[in-house]
Amino acid sequence: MAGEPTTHTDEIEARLAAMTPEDFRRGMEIFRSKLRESEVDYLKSCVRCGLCAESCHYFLSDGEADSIPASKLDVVASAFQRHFTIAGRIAPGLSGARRFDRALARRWVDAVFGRCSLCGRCSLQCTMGIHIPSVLRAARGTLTELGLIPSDLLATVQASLDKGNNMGIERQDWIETIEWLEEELQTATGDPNARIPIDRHGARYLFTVNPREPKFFPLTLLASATVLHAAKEDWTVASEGWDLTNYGLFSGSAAQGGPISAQMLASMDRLGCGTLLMGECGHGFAAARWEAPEWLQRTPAFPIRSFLEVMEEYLRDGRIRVDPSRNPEPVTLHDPCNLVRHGGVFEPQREILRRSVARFVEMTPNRAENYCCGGGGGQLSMGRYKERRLRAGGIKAEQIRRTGAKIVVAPCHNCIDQLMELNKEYELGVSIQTVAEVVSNALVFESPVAG
Amino acid sequence: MPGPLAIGVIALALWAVAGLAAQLVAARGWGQRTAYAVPAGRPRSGILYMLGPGMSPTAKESARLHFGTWLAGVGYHAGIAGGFAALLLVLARVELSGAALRAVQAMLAAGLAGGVFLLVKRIARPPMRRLSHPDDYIANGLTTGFVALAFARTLCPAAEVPWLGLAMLLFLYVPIGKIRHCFFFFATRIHAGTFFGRRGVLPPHA
Repeated sequence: MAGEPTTHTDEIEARLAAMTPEDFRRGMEIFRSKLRESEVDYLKSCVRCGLCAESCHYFLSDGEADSIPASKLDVVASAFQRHFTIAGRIAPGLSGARRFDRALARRWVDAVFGRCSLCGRCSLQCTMGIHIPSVLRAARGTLTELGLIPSDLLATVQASLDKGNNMGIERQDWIETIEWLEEELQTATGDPNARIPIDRHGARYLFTVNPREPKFFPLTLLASATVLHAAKEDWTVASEGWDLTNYGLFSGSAAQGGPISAQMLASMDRLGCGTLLMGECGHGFAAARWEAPEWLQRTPAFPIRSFLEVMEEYLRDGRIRVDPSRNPEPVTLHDPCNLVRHGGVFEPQREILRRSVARFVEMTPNRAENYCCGGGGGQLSMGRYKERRLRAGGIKAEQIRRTGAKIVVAPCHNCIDQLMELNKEYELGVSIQTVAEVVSNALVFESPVAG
Repeated sequence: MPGPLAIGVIALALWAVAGLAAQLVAARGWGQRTAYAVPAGRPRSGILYMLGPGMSPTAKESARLHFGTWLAGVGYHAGIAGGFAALLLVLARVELSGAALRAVQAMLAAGLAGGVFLLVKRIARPPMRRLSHPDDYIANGLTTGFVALAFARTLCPAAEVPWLGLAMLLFLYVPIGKIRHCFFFFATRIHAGTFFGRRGVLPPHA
C-alpha cells in the first residue's frame, strides 16, 4: 500500500510479537495515567465530521483516510472507549471501541508516530476544538513506555539523557568548538576582544543551542554570537547543560522530557544567569517554555525567552543596526509549529525580517495557520517514515514555491533539516537560513567595519 | 395531566441530561492539567474566541473549504433547536401559529435539509465512510428523523405520536453515542481556548 513504511519495520513488529496480554493491559494503565480531564473530553467529543482532513499535510499529500486527523484520533479513542467507557464495554461495535491488543497497538504506532508530526494545525480547524496533539502525545508516551517507539527516535532521547545533548557531543569538543568560533567571531567583526563567554556567572542571558549547530552548522552559531556581540550583550553559553533540544516532547514521555529539561535548567541554577535564552529551535522552545514546567511541576524562577524576541528588541531599541540591502533577494518565512502555533511567538521574527531584508514575502497561509514542513514531531529521527515525511513536505514545498522567494528563513533546526531535504526533493532552488544568519548578514558595525 | 408518551419523553430527557452531566463529572474526575508555565496570554480570551468568532468561516479554514457542509451543519443544528423548542411547546400544550409557526417550520426545514445533506455526504464519500461507525448513522438517523417528524407535526397533529416516540429513542441514545457532543462541545472548546489562550496563540495575530 502506498505510504507504508518501507524500512525498519522489523523492530516494531518484533516488539509487538513479544508482547503478552499483560503488556497490553499495562499499556492501558499507562495510557490512563497520562490522561486528564481535557484529554478525556477530547476523546469523547469527535463527531467524525471529517472537516479536519485538509488541515493535515499528511492527508493532503496522500489522500488516505487513515491520515485524516479524526481518523488518527479515532484509532486512539477506540481503545479509550473500550477500556474506559460503559458504552464502549457494552456495545463496542457502536462507536468502533476496540480492545488494546497487538493489532490495535500496531495501528497506534502507525497513526501517532507514522502519520502525525504533532503540529496541531488540525486543532484550530476542528469543529469541536479538539486539541488532537494532546491525545496523540499521550498515546506516544504510552507506546514509548511499552517499548513501541521507533528505535532511532528513542536513541535521540537516550543520547540527551546519557550525554547531555542529543548529538552526543563531548564536553571538550563543545568547548573547543566555541573557542574556534570565538576566533572566527573576532575575525568576522574585526574586534580582537569579541568573546563567546563560557560559564560566565551572573550573565544576563544564558544562551542555549541546538547541537546541530556545533556539529554541522557552526556558522549558524557564529551568526547568533555575532548578533549578541553587536548588541554588546552580557551573555554566556554553558559548558554543560547547553542543549536546548528535548525529544521527550516527541516520545511523549514526561519521564524523559523532565530530566532532559532539568539538565538545561540546572545550568541556570549553577550559573545564576538572569534569563534562559533559547536559540532558534521550535520544539526546544516549546519544551522549555511550556512543557518543562509541567513535567517538572514547578514554575521556573527566571524568564525563558526566544532569541527572536531578543533580536527584535535589539533592533527596536537601536542596539544593533542593519542594512536590508545586504539581503537583496526575496525572503519568505516558515513558521515552525512549536514556536508559533504551540509557542505563541508570531511577530518578532516578522519584524526582524521587515527590517533586515529588502523584500519579505509571507507564505499563504501563515502564522498559526501555516503548514508544518513535515519535519516536526520527531519525524526527522524516524527513518522508517522518511518517504511519508518527504511526501507530506510537498505541501510546504508548494507554499514556498508560490512565494517566489530565494531565501527561506526558518527559526528551527528540525525545520531547516526538513526544508533542506525538500529543497533537493522538489528542486526549489532556495537557500535555507536562520533568522540570526539573515540579521548577521545585514549587521552594520560602528567600527571597525565587519568583513 | 400529561399523557404516557409525554411522561416518557420527559423521563428520557432527564435521563439524557443526567447521563451527559454524569459523563462530564466523570471526566473531571480524571484531574486537571497543571499550569506551571508562566502564561503569555489570557485563557479567557482564548475561550471567548473559541466559543465565538473562532467558529466562523472567516476564521476557520475548514469552514471555508467545506462551506456547504458548514452551512448544512448550521442549518441542522438550527433545526434541532427548533425541534426541541417545538417539543417543549407541545408538551406544554401550546400550539404555534402565524409567524412563529413559520419561523419554526423554516428552522425545521433547514435542519432536515442539513441532516440529509450530512448523511448523504457521509455515505457518498469513501474517506467519510471509512471514518464512520454505526454511531454516526444512528445519531444522524435519530436526529434527522426527530426533526422531520417535528416538521410533520407542525403540518399534521397525527404525526405527534410517532414524533414523541422517536424523541424518546433520541433521548435514550443521547448519552450513549456521539450526540453527547451537545455538552462536550463546550468542554472541548473551553479546554482548547484555555490552551491556546495561555500561550498567546488565540485570539489570532494579524
